[in-house]
Amino acid sequence: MIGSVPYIPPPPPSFRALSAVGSLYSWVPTYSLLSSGGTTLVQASANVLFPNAQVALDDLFSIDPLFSKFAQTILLLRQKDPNEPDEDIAATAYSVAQAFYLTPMSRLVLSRAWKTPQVVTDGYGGIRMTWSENGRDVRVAIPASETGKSRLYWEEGDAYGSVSDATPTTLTKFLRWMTDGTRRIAD
Amino acid sequence: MEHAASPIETLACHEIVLRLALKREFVSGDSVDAFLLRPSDNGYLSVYRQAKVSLEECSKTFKKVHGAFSLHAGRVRDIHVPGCPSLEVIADESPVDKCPGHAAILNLPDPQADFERAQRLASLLKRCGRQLV
Repeated sequence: MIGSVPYIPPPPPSFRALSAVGSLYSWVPTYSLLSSGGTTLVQASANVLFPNAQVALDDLFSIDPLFSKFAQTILLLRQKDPNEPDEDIAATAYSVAQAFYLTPMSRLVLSRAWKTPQVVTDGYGGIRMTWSENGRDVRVAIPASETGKSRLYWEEGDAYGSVSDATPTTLTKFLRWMTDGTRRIAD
Repeated sequence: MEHAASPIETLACHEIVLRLALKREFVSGDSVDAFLLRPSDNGYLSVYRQAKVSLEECSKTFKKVHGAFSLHAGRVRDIHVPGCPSLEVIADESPVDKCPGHAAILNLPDPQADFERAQRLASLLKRCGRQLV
C-alpha cells in the first residue's frame, strides 16, 4: 500500500520492450547499495539507455512492496547468523549484488505472478534462492565471488536439469515455466 | 564436529534418523537446503538416531532448533542418482558429542563441485523424509 492506494505492479512489458531490457541486462553493472537515515535503501545504479527500464528498476526497490521486502531479506544475509557454526560465513557483497542483478527482470516480466523466493546463505558466502509452484522447482545458487558462476537448477517430478551460467533472462524463462503449468521446459 | 574412528557401524534399514533444522530457512516452504552440505558439515550430513535420543532432548543441546525431518535409513540408501555413489548412513558417536546418537549420511556430493547432483539428492532426501512440527 502507498498511503491508502494499493500498489499494483505495472503490467508486463511488451515483447519489444522486453527484448530491449533483456539486451540491456547483458551489460548492466553491479548495483550499489546506499544507506539513508538509518534505513537501508537499495537503489539500482545502472548505466541504462532505456529510460523506462530505469524507472521500473527504481520502482522495484523503493515502491514495490513485494520486491523491496525481498531486497531487505537479501540484505539481511550479509549479517552473520549467531546460531550458525563459525565455519559458515555470511553472504558477501558480491553475492548480494548478483541477487539484485538476477531478479528484477523476472519481477518485471512475471508481474503479479512473481513470488518471493526462499533465500538462505550457502555457508560459503554465496546465496541460494528457491521458488516452487505447480510441482515445479527453480533454484539459483549464487557464488561468493566472481570466480564462480551463478547456476540454476530446475525440477519437475523425475525430470530435472541445470544451467551453468544463470542470467536474468534465464531465470525469467524458468520462472515463467514454473508459474505457467502448461508451459514446457523447452518453450 | 569430530567424527568417530573405525569400526564403522551402518544403521539398520528400519532405523529412523532425525535431520535437525538449525536454520529457520531449512523448514521454510519447499526449500531443500537442510539436505545440502555446508562448510561446517565437513562432508557428512549430520543426523541423530531417534532410537538413542528424542528430538526434544537433542534440541536442548543446540542454541536453536527450528524443526526437523525424520528419515528411514533404508529409504536413504534406496536413493539413486546417476553418477553418484549410493548414500550410506552410519553411526558416528564421539565421547565429546553433547548430544548422543549422532550419525551421518555419507556420499553426498559437494554442492559447489557437483551442483546438479547435490540439488537432485537434496530433493530426493526431502521427499523420502517427513517434516516434524
